[in-house]
Amino acid sequence: MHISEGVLSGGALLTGWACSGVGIAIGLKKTESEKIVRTAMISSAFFLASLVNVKVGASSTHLAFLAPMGLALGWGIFPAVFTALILQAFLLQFGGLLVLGANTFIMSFAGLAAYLLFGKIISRAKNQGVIFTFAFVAGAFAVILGAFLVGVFLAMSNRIFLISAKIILLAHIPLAIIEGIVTGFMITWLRRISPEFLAIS
Amino acid sequence: MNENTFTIHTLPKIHASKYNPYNLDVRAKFAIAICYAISVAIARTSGAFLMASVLPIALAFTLSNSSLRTLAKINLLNLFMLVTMILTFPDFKAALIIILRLNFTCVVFAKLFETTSFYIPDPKFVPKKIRVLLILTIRGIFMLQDCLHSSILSVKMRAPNLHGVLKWKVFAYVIASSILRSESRSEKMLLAIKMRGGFAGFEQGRDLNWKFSDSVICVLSGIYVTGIFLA
Repeated sequence: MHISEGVLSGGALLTGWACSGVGIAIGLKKTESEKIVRTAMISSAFFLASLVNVKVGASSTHLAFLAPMGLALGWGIFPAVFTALILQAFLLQFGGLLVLGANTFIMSFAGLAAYLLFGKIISRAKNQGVIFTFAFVAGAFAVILGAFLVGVFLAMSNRIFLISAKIILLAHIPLAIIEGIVTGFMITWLRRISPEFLAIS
Repeated sequence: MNENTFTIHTLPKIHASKYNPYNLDVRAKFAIAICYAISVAIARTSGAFLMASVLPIALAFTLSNSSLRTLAKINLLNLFMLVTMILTFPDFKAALIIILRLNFTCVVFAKLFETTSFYIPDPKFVPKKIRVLLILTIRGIFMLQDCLHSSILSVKMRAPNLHGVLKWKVFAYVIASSILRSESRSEKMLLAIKMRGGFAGFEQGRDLNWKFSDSVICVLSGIYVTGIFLA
């Protein structure tokens, strides 16, 4: 779901930075100093989890864990994703600096939307099946929204990206299903073992 | 679960690079890379691209194998995008401009990241919480890497034949338990930080040392970037 350096136009880059700047400011304001260590550790755990290469048929993929991050951190997802993407650039030479704003906004907003839309339902549900279902929908929704935002930024840069944007969206559907399943199991387990872990509690 | 179902990429070994007095100051490197990327993003004419090609061509010969592999992967994706763009909007020039921009900026940033060890930004420019978050996340990544690696190995040993939904379930539980462990570790870390005096400190790992040569290189780069703008 990363956009590479050199693809987006100046306007798209500025929009990305403006939107993620607002999100990071709100995220930092809502993250108390006491919770900074927790945010950092969760960010590093998700960074590592996204490195795990999972075979899917003949290919392989890396999961993004957008919805679990959103459900665990809430608005704190913005600074956490920003930090993780900077470190991905330095440690793995993956991504870029100018496009960091857009990538941060894409991934953080998708996770935040999952938190805002599904967080209350997941926190109030008592039945494991209901929790799994809504967590699955949250996970899949976050990936689809992320792919959609990638398409929006690409289309904002140049209309010749429109078809690529549509193909990217379609290509993310299988990943959305897998991520939904993994999110469902993760959130169901975390709700059972440590419900206070989630920001929705 | 067969041997190759889950693999974890190990992070590159980070060695503290030896201090080389001829190395550019990291702030100079950042400034040059960002100004160059902006100039390439705005470049439109063939003269501008010709001028902009000098730096990445010079740097490309010094890139490490991993950066070259990343560049190759990006260009594979480029090929796919080029085909879709030409089939839908046959504007070959626009497609070529995008590919050139992508490659030029990727080479320059790859070299920047290769030659820069951890640089925690000046507190004047970056909020304290972001600085603290960066430092603690770096520490967390190296602390948790072995933990996650051993969890995945133990699953492979105990359940070598996982398939289908069960495979995803086990994967989800491994990740979730690693995250919970990270949370309990974070509480101990916060306690240790409080006992040692809070978040004050976190000084730069290495002294930043701006030299006369950094100023010279910045001025020359400024002239080069201005040339790209004006070409």
